[in-house]
Amino acid sequence: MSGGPAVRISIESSCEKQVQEVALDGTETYVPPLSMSQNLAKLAQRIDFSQGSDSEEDGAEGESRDREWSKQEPEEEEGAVKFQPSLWPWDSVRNNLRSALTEMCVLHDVLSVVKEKKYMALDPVSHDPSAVKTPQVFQLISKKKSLGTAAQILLKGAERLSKSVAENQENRRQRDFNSELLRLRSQWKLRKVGDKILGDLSYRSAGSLFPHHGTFEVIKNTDIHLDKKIPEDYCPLDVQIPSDLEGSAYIKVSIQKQAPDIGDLGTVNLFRRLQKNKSGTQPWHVKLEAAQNVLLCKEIFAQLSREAVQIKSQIPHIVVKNQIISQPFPGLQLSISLCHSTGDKKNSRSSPEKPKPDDHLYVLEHNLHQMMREFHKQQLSSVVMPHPATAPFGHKRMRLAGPLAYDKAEISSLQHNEGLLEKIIRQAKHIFLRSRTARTIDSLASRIEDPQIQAHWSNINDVYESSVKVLITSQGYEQICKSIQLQLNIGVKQIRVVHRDGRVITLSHQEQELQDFLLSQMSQHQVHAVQQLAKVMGWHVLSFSNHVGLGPVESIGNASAITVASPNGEFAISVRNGPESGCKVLVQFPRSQSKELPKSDVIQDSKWSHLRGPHKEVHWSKMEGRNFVYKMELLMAALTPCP
Amino acid sequence: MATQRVLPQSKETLLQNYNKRLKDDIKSIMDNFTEIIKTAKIEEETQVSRPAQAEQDHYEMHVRAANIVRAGESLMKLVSDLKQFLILNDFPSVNDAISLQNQQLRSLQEECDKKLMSLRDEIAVDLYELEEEYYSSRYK
Repeated sequence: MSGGPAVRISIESSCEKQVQEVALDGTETYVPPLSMSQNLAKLAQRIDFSQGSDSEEDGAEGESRDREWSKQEPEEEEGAVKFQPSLWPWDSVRNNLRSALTEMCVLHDVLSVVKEKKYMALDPVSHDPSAVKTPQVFQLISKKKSLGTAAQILLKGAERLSKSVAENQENRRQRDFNSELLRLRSQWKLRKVGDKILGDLSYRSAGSLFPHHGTFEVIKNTDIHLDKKIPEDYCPLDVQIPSDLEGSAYIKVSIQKQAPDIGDLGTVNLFRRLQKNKSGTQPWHVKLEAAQNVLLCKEIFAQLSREAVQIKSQIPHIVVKNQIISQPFPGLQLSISLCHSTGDKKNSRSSPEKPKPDDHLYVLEHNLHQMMREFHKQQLSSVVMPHPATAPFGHKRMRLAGPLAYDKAEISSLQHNEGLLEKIIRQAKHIFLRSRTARTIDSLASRIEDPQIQAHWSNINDVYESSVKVLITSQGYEQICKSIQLQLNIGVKQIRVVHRDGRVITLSHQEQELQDFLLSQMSQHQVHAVQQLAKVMGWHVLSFSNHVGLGPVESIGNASAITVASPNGEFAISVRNGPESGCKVLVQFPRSQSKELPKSDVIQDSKWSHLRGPHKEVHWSKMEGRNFVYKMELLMAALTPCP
Repeated sequence: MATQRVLPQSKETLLQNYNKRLKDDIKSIMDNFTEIIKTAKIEEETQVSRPAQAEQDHYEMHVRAANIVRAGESLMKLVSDLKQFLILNDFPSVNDAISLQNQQLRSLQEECDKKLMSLRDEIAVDLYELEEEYYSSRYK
């Protein structure tokens, strides 16, 4: 043994500890050895205290066993017997000892076999050098190969990564998505929920109380294949809006009358069409704005229909499907409708092609939008503004309501908040009244040429009030005849007429009233014009009356009359002008010039010749001259003696 | 940003989660790489037969290389997630954008108002003359 090379002999001891588990790779975990106290406890558990310690049988059996083993280990065994007659608690000790003995025996056998060399000799196994090397080469090759494939995988992965980082289309698209997202974020509210990016297009943050959630989803639209050409309007970011907000919508406000003569209300003929994308605006932005508009229109309409149902008016408002119908004036119908086209190309294309008379009241539609936004703002400011904890921060008078003990009526008068519908109806009434007034004035102006009516509309208006200045003049004599200037303040239900001398007349919304009033003013104007003309011509006004109580009764207003005398007093002209009966002009001749007058025997004195003679009516229509005042001037000139 | 302001709980956990992902991925790359290198060492005799061992090593390297690549991709995803997080939660810049837009819109409004005013004035003057002309003309 000493001569040859060292030989390794493996003698594995039997394991002392119990194997708990064998892992997949072959390692064995052992149960950890018990500590002293645990061991003691375990041993103590085995003692059966109930049994008698001096049981005969047990003892005999134990002793027989002992004797069996005492040949090998007499000392210890006997010691054990002495101290513990019941052997079972010492079983483990015995087992351990037995296994130790077994191992020692094996060791002894092996050693003796090796030493004796009688039966077998130990020689190291002769290694075949070629047999050893080949597996290593094989291993080397296989490892090299596997390393190579691993490297390939890594390279492939790296290539993909660098591809996505490097300047190429994919990356541009990626970056585009992020930059688009940034742009979207700067204009819209976004938040991330799970994997999705959700946005909010409702007006809730602006104070809206509309319960629609108004959520849209941001979608990454990078599915286009790399090799394909990117279309012009490609955008890596897309949005998905709720299906009920798709398409376009608008509120249509129109006034209809049973008779079709109201066609001049809002005759603007504008085509409502989706605007084409302006360059620089993203498709998602257009989409979102359209959706937001739809949402606002819906909110307006919801608000209006709610009010329409709540408000009690003499003629109840009717809400049918997407239309609200109200009657601001008898025979007149204001309809507010929500038009929502769902973006179907077929529908949207067929409808706007026909240029039918458009009866939109664009001003009202715009005002509706504006009022809704004002309402939002009000909501927002009343909610957000810091206020005392005990009361809302409102009107000062509201705060005083408690200390001053207002009653219910007073408080409700303070709280009276006009709704959207009421406001819009009032505005519609005003618009209608205004256009009707304009129409009345224009039709009068075109029907009656003499005197002339001029209307100058004021350019500063309120939504509920506008004014027009009406001048009644005679053509060619504008400088002289400025007698009648009227200021018409058109309100919601009535027209207030302010005369030049400060008189205020209130007219109702009835068209006829205004017409009659203007007619009577025109007739008065003629008489006033004669008065002015007389001053210029040097004639004397003998009498003047705006409202003559004599003669036939006019159905509109009163007739007015004037009498003027020539500078030397020889002639006199009397004019009576009524709105309905027209004008009547009489000339009085001096007695001396009248031939028909029989010479009286009584008044023969020359002084009587200064007495006034008889009146003669002028055939006014046969007079020359283009208008009344001109004719009058001619008449006066004819009757004025030449110096 | 995270240090300046107190972030809400969910944001905090999200950020921590990002941090964890980063560390995990880096660690995964590192570990897998080390293991590959370890596997590449030619070992002495083992109990497993050689072809089986070779096959196992081969397969292990495959998987580990793929793991490295996956971790890399995951890092890229993390980068894009971080970008999105920044975009969505960068409130100061959003506020800036809003105030800028507000300012722009206000100036636009002012401009429009001014133009409308001047237009109104011009039209009013013209309208007066036109009205005068219209009402005194023969063609009404």
